[in-house]
Amino acid sequence: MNVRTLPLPNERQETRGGTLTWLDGLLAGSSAVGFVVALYAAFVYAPTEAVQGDVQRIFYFHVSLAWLAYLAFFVVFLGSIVYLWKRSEWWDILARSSAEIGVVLTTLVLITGSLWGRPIWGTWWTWDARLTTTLILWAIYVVYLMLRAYSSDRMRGARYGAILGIIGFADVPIVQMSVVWWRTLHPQPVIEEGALPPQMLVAFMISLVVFTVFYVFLLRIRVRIEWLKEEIAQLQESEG
Amino acid sequence: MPPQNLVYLFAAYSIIMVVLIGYMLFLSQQIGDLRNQLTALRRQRSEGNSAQATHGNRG
Repeated sequence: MNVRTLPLPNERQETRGGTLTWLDGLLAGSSAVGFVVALYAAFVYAPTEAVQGDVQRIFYFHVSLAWLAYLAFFVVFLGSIVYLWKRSEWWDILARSSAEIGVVLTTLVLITGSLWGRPIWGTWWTWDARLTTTLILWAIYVVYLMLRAYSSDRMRGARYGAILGIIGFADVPIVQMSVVWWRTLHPQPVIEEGALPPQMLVAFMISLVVFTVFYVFLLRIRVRIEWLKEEIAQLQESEG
Repeated sequence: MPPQNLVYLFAAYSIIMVVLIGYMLFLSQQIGDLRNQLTALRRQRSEGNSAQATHGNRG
């Protein structure tokens, strides 16, 4: 019998990056079912828009992704403030994890926006206020992630990252208000002004809820990864 | 709507799904790798401690 295959006592220790819980399973399952429902709502339940036709259905996921990106960057903002205030590692990890998810979501917003703009505006990209401020938002958090990844001093990286996470969030209201403050090709807000027909609003709300659940799931997984990295770093340091 | 415009609709939804599934797979692979690394480190430390204890008893 190979004794090396037996778990050693230390291996049984629960870690902060431990195994998936029932809540993770519930979030993952709800997201999977939710995405099927959201796709049904976007493609079948919601009526076809009279002017743009079926391509307008990009709206349901495109806008949900944008709102979730705002939420992700708000979590970075909040985590950064609390980190600077309390110097608690947990808040730094939460901010760093949310920033990565926010960048993934913003990347998808830019891609889907471009795919929507091509048939409607006749161009993949234009230096319109909404598009430009969104690109700047994406760039700010890419810089944030690079700063965190390449910083040799962990504490200093966390401190500078927190400052960037707070300042960078100032771009979120600018992105949101850009269509009001400047003349743009991008449509004016339709949800906030109640201009969306009820069936379209329901389809949008379904996809927004599904993306929110999925974001929480991703954030929990991402935070767990950071805890595992911390534990490994601590073990390696103690090994010296 | 001209049928070619449907290509943009399907491309948008396909890209969203592919990127999100890809990101989830990337995260799950990272978790797996880190867990293996942590287990190996703990095993190494535990073996080191046992060896030290044995050496101490002999001494």
